[in-house]
Amino acid sequence: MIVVQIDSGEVRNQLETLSRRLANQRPMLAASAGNVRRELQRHFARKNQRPNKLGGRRTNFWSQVRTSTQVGAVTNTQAEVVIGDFRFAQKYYGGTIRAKSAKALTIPVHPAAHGRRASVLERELGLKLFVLGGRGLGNGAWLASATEQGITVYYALKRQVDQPKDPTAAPPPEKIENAATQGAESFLRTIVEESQSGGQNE
Amino acid sequence: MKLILLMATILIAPLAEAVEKINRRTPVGSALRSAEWEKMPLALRERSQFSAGVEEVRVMHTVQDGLRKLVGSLRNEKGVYTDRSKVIAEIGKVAEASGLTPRDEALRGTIQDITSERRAELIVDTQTQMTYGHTNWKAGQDRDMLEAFPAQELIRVEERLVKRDWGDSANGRWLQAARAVGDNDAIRIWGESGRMIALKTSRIWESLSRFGTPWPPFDFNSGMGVEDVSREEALALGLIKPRQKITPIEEDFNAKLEVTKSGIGDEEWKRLKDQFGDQIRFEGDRVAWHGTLLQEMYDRALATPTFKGSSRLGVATPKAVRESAPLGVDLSGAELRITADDIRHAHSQHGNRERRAGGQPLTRLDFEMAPHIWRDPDTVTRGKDDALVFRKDLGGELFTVVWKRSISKEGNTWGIKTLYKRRPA
Repeated sequence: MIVVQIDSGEVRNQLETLSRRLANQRPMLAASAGNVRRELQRHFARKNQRPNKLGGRRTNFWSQVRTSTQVGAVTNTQAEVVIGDFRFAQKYYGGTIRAKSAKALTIPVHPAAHGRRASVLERELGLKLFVLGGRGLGNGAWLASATEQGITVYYALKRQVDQPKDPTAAPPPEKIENAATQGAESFLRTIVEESQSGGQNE
Repeated sequence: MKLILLMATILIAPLAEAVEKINRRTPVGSALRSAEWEKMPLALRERSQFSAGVEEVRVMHTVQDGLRKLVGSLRNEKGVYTDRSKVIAEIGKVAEASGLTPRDEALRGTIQDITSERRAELIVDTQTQMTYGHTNWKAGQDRDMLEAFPAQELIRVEERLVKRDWGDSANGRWLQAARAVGDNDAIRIWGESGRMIALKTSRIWESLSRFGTPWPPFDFNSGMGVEDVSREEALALGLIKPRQKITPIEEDFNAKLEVTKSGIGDEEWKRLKDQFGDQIRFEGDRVAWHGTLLQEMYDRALATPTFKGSSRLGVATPKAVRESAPLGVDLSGAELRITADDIRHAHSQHGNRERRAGGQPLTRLDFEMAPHIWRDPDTVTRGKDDALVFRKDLGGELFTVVWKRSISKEGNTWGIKTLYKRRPA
């Protein structure tokens, strides 16, 4: 489990000030977490609108991250927003991916290979891939197919890749903090206004 | 006491509720198409891992296993996560190895081809969205969450080349669903702003869904999702009144996920039994799946030589009836019943002691193939003593089941005379 703590002193102070107006803080924390979730979901939805770099079929990666973003446990003192898709951590933190289950990682370099395992590409396109170049399956080798039109390279074979972190994977911290406080503020403002007017229970 | 607020903690972690939802499902192989599954009680659909027209239980096990690994962020023995592309590749591979590539070339690569990438993607994406959709819906039914975000909006979350009419016109699905359940606020807001907003507790969400569930996805490959609408916005839209508390509907909805003896008619029950046999049963007053029926019977039959149990596994399909008719055998309404003796006999002949040339020893999982072969044989021939011989190639292994008519008070029932498999010559 990876925890990204959005817990600046300013947010804490603001929320403590707001919370003093309530006997039960949980609904306010739910409002706050719900608004953070909505901010994250909108961010992921915007990211999903961008085409992938290779220009291949869309896998809607960011939409899947959006769907997995949920409000988790909410107590009287804390609220969680959970991103269930583990692949987000790799985007957020970056890091080295090493070939462990196979001899090499297959890195798509052709639009048709985007989001596809080599075995699926072979089956779907009716191709037979072979290793091209390099010594063995290490760096410098490729997975390619040969047709009458020539050789087409689909994957680079690597023992490991270093993925830089995506600085836009999540919204900037201040935006998340704003969402947290705005969610709580909006909720408090509303219930104060409601208490000043008449009303009913369903 | 000082109140310490640790706010907006963002976790990247599997959602336990989502994993639990997948684990609760029973893999079910069935020839039912999507439209037929939609007529099944929601309770049974929600608790089964099925895919339209896929009879092969092994494929459904692969689907469930893949979803569990995906949603549960599980690593393999080498510490590697299973990602979406891996699950899609596995489903296609197992389906292909199970001999499920359509014989009709026109169907290959289409959504009806379970070995195709398109179909596997549809299964994985729909099921993942349903799992997260349910978890989100459940969290949204929390009283405090409902107070803070009492409504939600149907929005487009993924682009599509061809878009269905959800809210583009007065004939769109949104207004149809709103009219069907009498949600006048949803109709009014759409008329005022073109937005598709309703209370989270409105029945419009179930009405909107092809699957009958109040959470997204509401249809296959729709590209639509939901976004929370705050209390402030809901008040401004006139969806709630000041100080109005919304009552969660989770309990009411969960009650619908129970099918009881009193709630299911005789005709519906007969239809289910014809299709699934004893794989569907009552547990107390509740209808439930019994997906491990044959495995349990196999274990018990071998562990206890005196065990005399039997299981009903559904009536003959139109295909089996059609293929048997020219041989002078009428299988109309014939029911498959497997007994513990059948299992012991086949196991003693063709289990570990299999000696036939090319013969492969039968395993526990092979006995699960018997109902599948009963429903969808490749060839049907006449055997000795009025027996019927069904053969099916399941991914390079040729299964042969010899069926015999059973003497039964309950009519036309058939059992296994023997079962064996071999690699085709």
